[in-house]
Amino acid sequence: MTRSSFHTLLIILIVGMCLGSFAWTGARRAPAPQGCQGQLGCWLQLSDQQTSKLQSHDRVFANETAQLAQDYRSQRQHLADLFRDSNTAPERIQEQAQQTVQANHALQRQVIEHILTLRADLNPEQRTQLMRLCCRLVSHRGIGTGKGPGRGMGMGMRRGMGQPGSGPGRGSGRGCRFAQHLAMDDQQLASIDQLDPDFAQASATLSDQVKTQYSQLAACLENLESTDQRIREQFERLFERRIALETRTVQHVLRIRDILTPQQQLMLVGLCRRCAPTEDN
Amino acid sequence: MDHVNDSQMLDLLGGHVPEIEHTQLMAHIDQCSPCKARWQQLADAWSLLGNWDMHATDTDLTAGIMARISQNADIQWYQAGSLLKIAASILIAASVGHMAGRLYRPDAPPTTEQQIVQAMHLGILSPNSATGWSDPLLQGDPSGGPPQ
Repeated sequence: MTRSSFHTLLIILIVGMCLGSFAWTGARRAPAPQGCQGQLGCWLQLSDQQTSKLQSHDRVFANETAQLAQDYRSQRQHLADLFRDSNTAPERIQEQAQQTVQANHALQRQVIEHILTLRADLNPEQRTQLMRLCCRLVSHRGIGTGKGPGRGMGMGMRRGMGQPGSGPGRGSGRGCRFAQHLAMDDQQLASIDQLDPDFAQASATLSDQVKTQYSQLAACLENLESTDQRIREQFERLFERRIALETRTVQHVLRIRDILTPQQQLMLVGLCRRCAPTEDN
Repeated sequence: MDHVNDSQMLDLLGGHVPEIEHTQLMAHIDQCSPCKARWQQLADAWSLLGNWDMHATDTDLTAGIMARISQNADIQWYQAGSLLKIAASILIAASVGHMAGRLYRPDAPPTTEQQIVQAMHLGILSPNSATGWSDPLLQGDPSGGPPQ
């Protein structure tokens, strides 16, 4: 081996050693952000001061929310089990539905309170970023780039020239959306007219009210001037309308329970079980 | 008979030759002038070495070796220098790389809105039914399924 090739080999070895150590150490120091605070810190580019301030809150939030989410899942699962059992008394199902709604409300309230706590410690840019995301979720515009097929056209065409809240029969087919979802036949629809004649009208009105409240909550969240109190009040107004809709829907389900086919009953069980509050969206 | 060589003469001096051969070789040496001359020289040297009294216990080899080592220390360092330089370079390179790796703050993978929604449980805020049964009423599309 000549002297120059020996030196070249030596330099390559030394440089390789240097780069290798760098890469190894660097790779060991690049953990993925962990937990809510870690991910939020990356997403909002929180300063070290903001991160340390929110850290203790994050731990409490993570534990409590996990518990509330688990409780909500259990309540919904229990409701599905009760409904599936034909021997369960309607009152028992109604009671369990109320508990499920309350568990959902507790989880939602916890999340709202967490958002408000975070919001207080963010700078205007970070606050805008977070609140816009919340707004998109509440107003059901989804997350991501916002591209893709919208929902406006289809709805509008079906509603016709319409006055909002025009009562039963609006929509594309027979019966209300609930009946359409369960693909009820003419005989069942006729029975429903006897068993629960007001449901189509009432559910349409209530669902419109719920949607309106969601829109107002979204506006509230998007408006950086909204106070915590204003957001809380709007959230409670929304909950009030939601519980009215849920109660009326449960009442309807119990009234028509006996005329449902086993497949339709399973569809309702499936709707109830399709619950993943943390994975939704 | 051939001349007696040096090896045979040394064997004779050492007494390692059988008696018959010893007699024959000595007879040749007595008669051959060149062999006799060489025999005389070897015999004198043999005798001289036999009388040499060496006092080995007076010679301290360890002290001598150590003394020479310290005298030639710079020469040994110089000789080992190349290897040490290579080892030191590798060590320094690895240390520099390690330090640079520690100081380097790599960019974390970008966090998506989806991850934030999951981490903060924000999905619960979407217009969904608490029991699931009102989902068909809240969605825009009457064909079924929960809100997207």
